[in-house]
Amino acid sequence: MTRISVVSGVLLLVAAAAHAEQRQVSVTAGDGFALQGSYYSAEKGGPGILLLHQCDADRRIYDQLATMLNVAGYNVLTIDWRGFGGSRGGAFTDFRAQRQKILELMPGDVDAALKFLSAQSTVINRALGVVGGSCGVNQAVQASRRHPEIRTLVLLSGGTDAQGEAHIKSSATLPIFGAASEEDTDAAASIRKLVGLSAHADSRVEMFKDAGHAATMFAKQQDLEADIVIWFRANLPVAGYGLPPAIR
Amino acid sequence: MLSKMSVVAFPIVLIVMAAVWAPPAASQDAGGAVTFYKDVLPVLQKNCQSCHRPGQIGPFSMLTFKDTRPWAKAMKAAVLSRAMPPWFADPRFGHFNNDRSLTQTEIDTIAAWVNNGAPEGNPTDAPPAIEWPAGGWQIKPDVTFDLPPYPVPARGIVEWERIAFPAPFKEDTWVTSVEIMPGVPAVVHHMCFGFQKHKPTTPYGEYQWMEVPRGEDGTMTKPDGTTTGPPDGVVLTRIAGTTEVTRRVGRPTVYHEGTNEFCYLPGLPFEDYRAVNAGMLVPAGSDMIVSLHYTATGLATIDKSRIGFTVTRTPPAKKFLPQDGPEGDNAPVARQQANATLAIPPYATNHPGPPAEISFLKDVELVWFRPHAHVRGKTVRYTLVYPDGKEETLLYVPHYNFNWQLTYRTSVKIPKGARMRVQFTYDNSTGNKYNPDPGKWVYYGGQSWEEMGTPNMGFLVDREADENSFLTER
Repeated sequence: MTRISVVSGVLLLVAAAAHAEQRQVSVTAGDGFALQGSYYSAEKGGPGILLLHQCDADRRIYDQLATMLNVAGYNVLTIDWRGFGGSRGGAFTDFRAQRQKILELMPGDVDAALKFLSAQSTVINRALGVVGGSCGVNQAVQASRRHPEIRTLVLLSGGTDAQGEAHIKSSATLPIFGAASEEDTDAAASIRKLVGLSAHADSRVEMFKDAGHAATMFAKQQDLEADIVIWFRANLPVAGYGLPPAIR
Repeated sequence: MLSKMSVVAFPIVLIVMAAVWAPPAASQDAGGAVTFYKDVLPVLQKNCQSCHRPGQIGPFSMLTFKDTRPWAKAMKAAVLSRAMPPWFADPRFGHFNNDRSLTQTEIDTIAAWVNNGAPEGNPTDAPPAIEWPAGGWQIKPDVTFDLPPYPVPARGIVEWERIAFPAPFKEDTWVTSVEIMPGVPAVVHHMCFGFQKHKPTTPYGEYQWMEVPRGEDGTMTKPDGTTTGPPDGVVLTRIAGTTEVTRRVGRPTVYHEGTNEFCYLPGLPFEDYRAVNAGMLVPAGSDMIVSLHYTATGLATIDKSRIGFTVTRTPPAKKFLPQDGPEGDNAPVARQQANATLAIPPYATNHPGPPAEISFLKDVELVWFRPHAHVRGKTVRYTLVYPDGKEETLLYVPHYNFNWQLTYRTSVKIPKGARMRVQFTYDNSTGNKYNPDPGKWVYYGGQSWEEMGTPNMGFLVDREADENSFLTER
């Protein structure tokens, strides 16, 4: 399978890029801070997916996945957390030094990103999904606590707190796809626990070996991005009766 | 009667392409490798590319090696589990000539290709590329018709609407295939239409629908076993291109007396009856009565759907007679399936709906099934009861999937005096992941949160046959 992965990564980016277009966007957080992001609009309209990156990378780590999801019919938003990538500036220039403050602001930043995503003209804002990597895992889980319109989660190499675990345990309609690498011991244990807690029968976990952490796993497990797209297509329909009606 | 003429539905499979490219075995070249060009691409062309190409419903393209290779592992998993291609008929019953499930040999070919590193192989081994129709079409239409732009609201309940247009043919025309291409599939529940002789009372370009009394949660306050509300009551109308809605008491004047002859449903993109030398005659001056059902999903959008036709100047040998439609609007007699009795209890896991029974008054050839239910649909079984009392299951769908409303094409000679019994079951439990509210009673209706169990079928008759009274339903 290794040979497949090496070749497929290159081909995938080329093939997907031929169909998708991204635009740079600025998401205004509650305190006025401008989070920088990339938005991929689905031509025919469809659900929205928010990608939350890990805290040792920036949003570019999702470039390929975002493109693939967009080609598959989804509106996709990636944002840089404060202190990362395009969102490094103003009062937030050093994540390590400002870690606690930035983490405290993340829930509000996620809400701002979801608000931005939901407001886009092609987004079905009652049908959302979130991908979280590492530090983004807890944010993804907490976001689903606050926003019932989030209908599925993809969690890569991370964990959540007691409230998040209770939420997953009680959410029978929230399917979760988890993935981690075995040698990433704590993250792997957290993902196993989260998926194990899930009350949804379709939730599943993928464990790899020597694959790295969160979205860096894509480099060695390049089938993982395809698996994530297939997961969303199975659990967040882009058309048909599976989309929830908006009566009110 | 033109309005009672009908068509047969052939889903996504491309018959011609299937004939050209027979399924390959999991062959190995001199180097021992199953390759993309030599072994896999023919399988993809025959079974997958109709959906897996740009602009279609598949999440990625399978037209080229470059497009396909990154998805190799997912493809292997999908074919091994038989999740793809979608096909839901229990293989123990019936025979379907559009069965698009892969043969074991084809599955083995794809698995072997992936297991061997998904090699590209020699491009000279590739079969000729299929020339897919341009513009997103599955058929290559000779005639196209653009429906007026339809503003779909972000929220609210959109009842079934009908609108009439002059048919887009200047002379008597045999239609041989039809495709309805929704502009925004995310908001289209169904689109169907049929032809009928123009009536002076039928206005063109005016949407008409009945006011259906509903509670705040969208449930009909008086479930009456219909999809469109009572036959008379408050009629709402809107001229296409305008926003003003008018109300009057009475009956709609846009109404198709026959059945819906062509439909778009999720997973059913087109209907094609060229392969069996059949069609339907549309006399000059006919009207096209279109039934529309949009669902508000939170996305305010303008839908621009299109209809495409292929036609022939040579009259085909056969024409089709459908048994279609949700309730009493079928040819040749009113349908009496006891839809009003459908009441699915909360948390029911396997609730049987009211059965439909169709009696055949003449010998007839059954050529397709197209069962239709909504998100709680679980199973459907078509049982033929012969005149001597012998029973035979012709189709059993053990896992109905509303996202793939397939047509199952067959050829069964049904003798006069036989009866068809059609039984749907429903899953209103928490185990149904698409169930929006397991705690509610669910009644018959046309909205996706309501249910129905429509036993659509198609029949082949000689071109000159009088299609009246081939069957009755009660």
